[in-house]
Amino acid sequence: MDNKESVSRPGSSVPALDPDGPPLVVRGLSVTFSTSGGPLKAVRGVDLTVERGECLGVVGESGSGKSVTAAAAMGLLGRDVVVEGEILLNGRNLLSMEREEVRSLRGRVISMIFQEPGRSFDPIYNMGKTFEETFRAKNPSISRDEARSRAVQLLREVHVPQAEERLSSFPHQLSGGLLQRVMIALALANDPEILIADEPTTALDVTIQAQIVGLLAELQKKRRLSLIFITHDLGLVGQIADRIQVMYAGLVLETGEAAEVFRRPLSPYTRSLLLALPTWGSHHSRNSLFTIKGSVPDPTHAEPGCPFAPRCYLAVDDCARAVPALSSDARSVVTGEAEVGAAGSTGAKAFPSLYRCIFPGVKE
Amino acid sequence: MSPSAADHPSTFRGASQPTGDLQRASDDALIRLRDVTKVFNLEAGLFASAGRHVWAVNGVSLDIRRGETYGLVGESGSGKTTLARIIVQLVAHSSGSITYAPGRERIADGLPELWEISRAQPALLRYFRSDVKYVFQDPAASLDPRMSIYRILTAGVRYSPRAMSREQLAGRVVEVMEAVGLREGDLARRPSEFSGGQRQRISLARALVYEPVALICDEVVSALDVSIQGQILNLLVDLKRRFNLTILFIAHDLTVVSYMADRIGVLYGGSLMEEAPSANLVARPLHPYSQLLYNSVPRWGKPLPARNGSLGSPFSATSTPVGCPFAGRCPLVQEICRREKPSLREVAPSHMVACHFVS
Repeated sequence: MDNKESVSRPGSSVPALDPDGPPLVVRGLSVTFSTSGGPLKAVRGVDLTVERGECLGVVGESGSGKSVTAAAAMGLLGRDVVVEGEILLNGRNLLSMEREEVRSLRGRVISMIFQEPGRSFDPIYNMGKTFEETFRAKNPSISRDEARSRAVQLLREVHVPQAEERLSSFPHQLSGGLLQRVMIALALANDPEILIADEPTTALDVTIQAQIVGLLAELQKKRRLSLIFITHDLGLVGQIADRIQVMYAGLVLETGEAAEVFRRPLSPYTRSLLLALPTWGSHHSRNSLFTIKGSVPDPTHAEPGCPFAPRCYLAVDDCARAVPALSSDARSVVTGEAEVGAAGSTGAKAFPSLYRCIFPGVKE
Repeated sequence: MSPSAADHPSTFRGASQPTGDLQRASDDALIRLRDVTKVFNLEAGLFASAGRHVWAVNGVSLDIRRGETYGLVGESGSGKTTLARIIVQLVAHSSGSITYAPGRERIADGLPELWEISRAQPALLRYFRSDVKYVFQDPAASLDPRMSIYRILTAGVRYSPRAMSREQLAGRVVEVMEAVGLREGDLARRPSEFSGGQRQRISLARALVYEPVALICDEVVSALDVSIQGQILNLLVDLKRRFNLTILFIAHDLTVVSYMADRIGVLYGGSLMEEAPSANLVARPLHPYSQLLYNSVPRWGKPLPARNGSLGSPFSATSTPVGCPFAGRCPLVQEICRREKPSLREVAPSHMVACHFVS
């Protein structure tokens, strides 16, 4: 891991590089795609901080902007996509870097694994070749033998049985669970500080899912990785994350420590979600599920108000007027982009629960 | 329109055949599976290597009782979808028997009290399929995008053994649309104009048009967003009460299945590993596989299993099955498990387990 990049940043108010500081800080990120139906604002002002060695869980339904946020942090969005705000990797803004520089950070500082491991591999490369190419991207002079021995070491770290023999396996010869382990090993090949896992277990069976999530938690502790775990599964995120960020329609609706969010959800959206899912041991004959009316909003027609208002059990006319600010106390309504930075200003180490709603958090 | 066969009940040969086990028509089994097996040829065609088969379902026996929700839980490759498709004969089984004991109304129609479901009995199969409706996982793929909702709901009328006038049909369509939470005005629209959750409502409405006795719900919520899942589960509970339905509820999510089902069957590698009332299975899963499944359920506040289950060879459906399908991953495995397939035994009242070492 080398953090030799210069610390000078154009137009940034970030303090000097702190080796213990958060490796990734996202401020006021908005992402707009141009579609035939007009501009589509997939992310509308997202703040996100991940500390060293912690796991941040990002939960959201389809269209919440969770994956687009991750793709932006990896610098994976195309040139035709409008990305605004700041993505600070160790204090330096990714959005003002040259493409080559972003590429050199990928894998070394920030790395990512994806949903369907089977689709992320080249079917005509065996595992040995895949690793070799990954090492070579950052270290062109690496010898074949060295690449092989490092690959075996990595495969052992992710508990792939018979690691040496696996190097000659092709993707179709491995199960989904094994492929996801290899994916994780590849993502860690160049010792990144941050690992983004975007729905890494959605395509896997539950028993395999538990293994993979257990492995990620183990690696996160052992390597002091900053893990960003993106999922739609509340139970899963509750098991692995230290902090949770709940997203909906391109906005963060609630953020806080995992235990707090589950024990005392403040946003009506989070509350509704937790009540709408069957809990372990509940039965339809005794407990009925809370119904969230309506459906997930269409991102091409963003309304000015709180995006959850049309489905919310608390909604009043005021909710449709402006997007409420993300804050620890209710009733502060800020319009449009002026709210950016509300989360960042609360200090880096203490993580208060923040939520977006004009009503005070419901307390039991 | 009534099929000629219905006028001559004596032509229903299936009715005269059942013996032994199948004769207990007086009990409450609506659909009874006995030793149902499905073997697929892995490769078909002129140049396929012979003798490679997939044992998708291997000797499954279970009863779906009248009025209950039977939950079938299993991972990919467990055979749960194949089993469901065998029941409605979208896939013909290789061996074993499936019998159907329809209600009094059917018997009054001149149909037998109990009959064998197979493709060899097309007239009976038509009655069965109008009684037992399949609801598919992906509503986007199972609704014809060019048809209006009205046409989607009524397209089955040609195949229905029950006569319905145009007016009756129109009335029924409006009734089921209202029951699933859609409006009459939606009938003229097309599937693309609806969200995923609404499309699943349309699928349910289609299943309900011809007054079915039972629904087979195959992963009906797994393609839906979290906030929509609850709506559809609530709707199913409501429809079940309102129309007196029997439901076979198939899913991979143990929490959802245990919420919906009265009894649960745990399927692995094409075989039933455990069967118990929902509450018993939730409180005390007995089979090592059910326990692994239980430990894998993600839940807030539950610590992550460090090494969850062995990474040992997963079940391979392509070799001739010998022994317990779970033997390759089982923590309790002994020599006998690889040799002999354990049969399903009752280890506690109504609690069946297929394991040599659970008593």
